[in-house]
Amino acid sequence: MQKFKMETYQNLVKDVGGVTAENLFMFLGKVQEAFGYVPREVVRDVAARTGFSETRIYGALTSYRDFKVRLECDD
Amino acid sequence: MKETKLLTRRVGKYEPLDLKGYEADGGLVALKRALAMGPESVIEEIKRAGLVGRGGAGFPTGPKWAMAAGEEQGPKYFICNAEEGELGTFKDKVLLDGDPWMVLEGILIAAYAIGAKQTYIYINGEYEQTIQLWEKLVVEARKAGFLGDGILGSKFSVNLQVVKGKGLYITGEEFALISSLETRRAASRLKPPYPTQKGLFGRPTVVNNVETIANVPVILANGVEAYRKLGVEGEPGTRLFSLSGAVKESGVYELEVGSGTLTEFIDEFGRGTSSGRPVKAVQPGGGTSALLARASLGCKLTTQAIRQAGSEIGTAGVIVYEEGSSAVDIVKGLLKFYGSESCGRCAPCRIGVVRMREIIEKVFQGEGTTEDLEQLRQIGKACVAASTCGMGQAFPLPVLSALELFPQDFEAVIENR
Ligand SMILES: Cc1cc2nc3c(=O)[nH]c(=O)nc-3n(C[C@H](O)[C@H](O)[C@H](O)COP(=O)(O)O)c2cc1C
Repeated sequence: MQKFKMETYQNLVKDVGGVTAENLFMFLGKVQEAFGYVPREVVRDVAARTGFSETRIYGALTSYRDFKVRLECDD
Repeated sequence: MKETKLLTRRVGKYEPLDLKGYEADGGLVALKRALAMGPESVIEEIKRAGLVGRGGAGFPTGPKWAMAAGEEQGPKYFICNAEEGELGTFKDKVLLDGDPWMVLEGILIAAYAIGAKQTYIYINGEYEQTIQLWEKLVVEARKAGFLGDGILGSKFSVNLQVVKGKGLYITGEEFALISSLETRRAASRLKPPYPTQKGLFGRPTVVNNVETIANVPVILANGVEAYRKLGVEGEPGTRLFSLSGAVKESGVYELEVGSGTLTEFIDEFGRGTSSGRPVKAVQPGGGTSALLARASLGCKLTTQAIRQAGSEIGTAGVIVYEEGSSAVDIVKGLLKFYGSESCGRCAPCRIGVVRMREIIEKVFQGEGTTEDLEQLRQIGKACVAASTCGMGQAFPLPVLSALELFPQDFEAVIENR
């Protein structure tokens, strides 16, 4: 797991050949795996790329056990 | 009783990523044949073979493909369901890990038959290594020209996306799976319309289980006649049985349909119960199938025989419970799992599963009454009758059967209070 960087994120986008409605769910999984959560900036960006609302994407993300929308740390 | 290795024949015989090894052992014959035959003839052969789905619902595969193929509006999608979330079920993993090229070949043939360009394999998130293997497989397949444009010099183009499941049991249900791929909350939907009519992004979509798809290359390579020689009338071929619970040897075994009884299977492959005590009950078709008592275990391993005995073959996940275990514990364990897995789409399941879990926990604590048992029964029946999808229709079945078959177990904890 690595700290979120826009640059790393852009490389993930490149790796999947661009983000579309058809691969968004899989792609969000890649983001989750890379950073341990799906950052706000990512939701904003993929919403713009797919035309899905941020609400819809958050609605999905927060409903799955294995997605996190903020970085969690051990306390 | 012995195994009939039809789908598992190559498992462990070649390095999973080695396409040459697969090809040398009869691989790709089916795909080449399919591309030469044309989509309609492929569907016709799958229909004639009498293949039925192995995902739990037992839907005939040929007709399902024909429905999607017959829809006018594209694009069409094909999804291989590798969520394998059902309790006591771990057979798909054997194929995904042990003969991935065969599963891929099946996916390609299915996509060709229905006219899908985009396909998905949705794999249980706990199968981390399987997912990694499949991601590599896709790269290899693309290099070798089995994914991308113009497969094997034909006009057929197709892509495969490997999707990691996100830890929810309900995503195995086809509409919940589709919702998930649409980046929505995983929830079932009322049918009709069926996925073949309005599936992923509202387009015709076929969802098939891994084992179902693994049958496809076998049928096309060996021919329908050879395939139909195995199995029983109305249920040709083999099935992969997962065996777990209170047995000495758990595992996955491929058996010709109807080749033996449940008792023989448990004794010969499971080498009997863990403690040596007699079997108390068995769930023959995964965690949502009704319990069968010892007296019913003489039934053959076929859909019909198991139904007549009072349960369902479901995912063919055989879970064994031995004498000395209480039906209250069994039910409590099952409801503990299903109790947090309802998608919430329909009230009977959403409310029922939680209420049933609460009641069984109360009974288990020794604070239950006979009225509680009656409530358990009534809520269970309402759930089965009124739920939208197979989850609510099925999870109460083991509970209802336990109350029916082992009332003394429930009475014992009630009287002891
Ligand atoms: C709650 C629930 C969970 C399911 N889980 C799975 C699963 O993990 N894998 C699977 O193949 N089918 C599962 N199914 C069945 C699918 O909805 C669907 O019927 C199946 O994938 C179709 O494939 P088939 O025609 O090849 O059997 C599930 C159904 C329900 C109601």
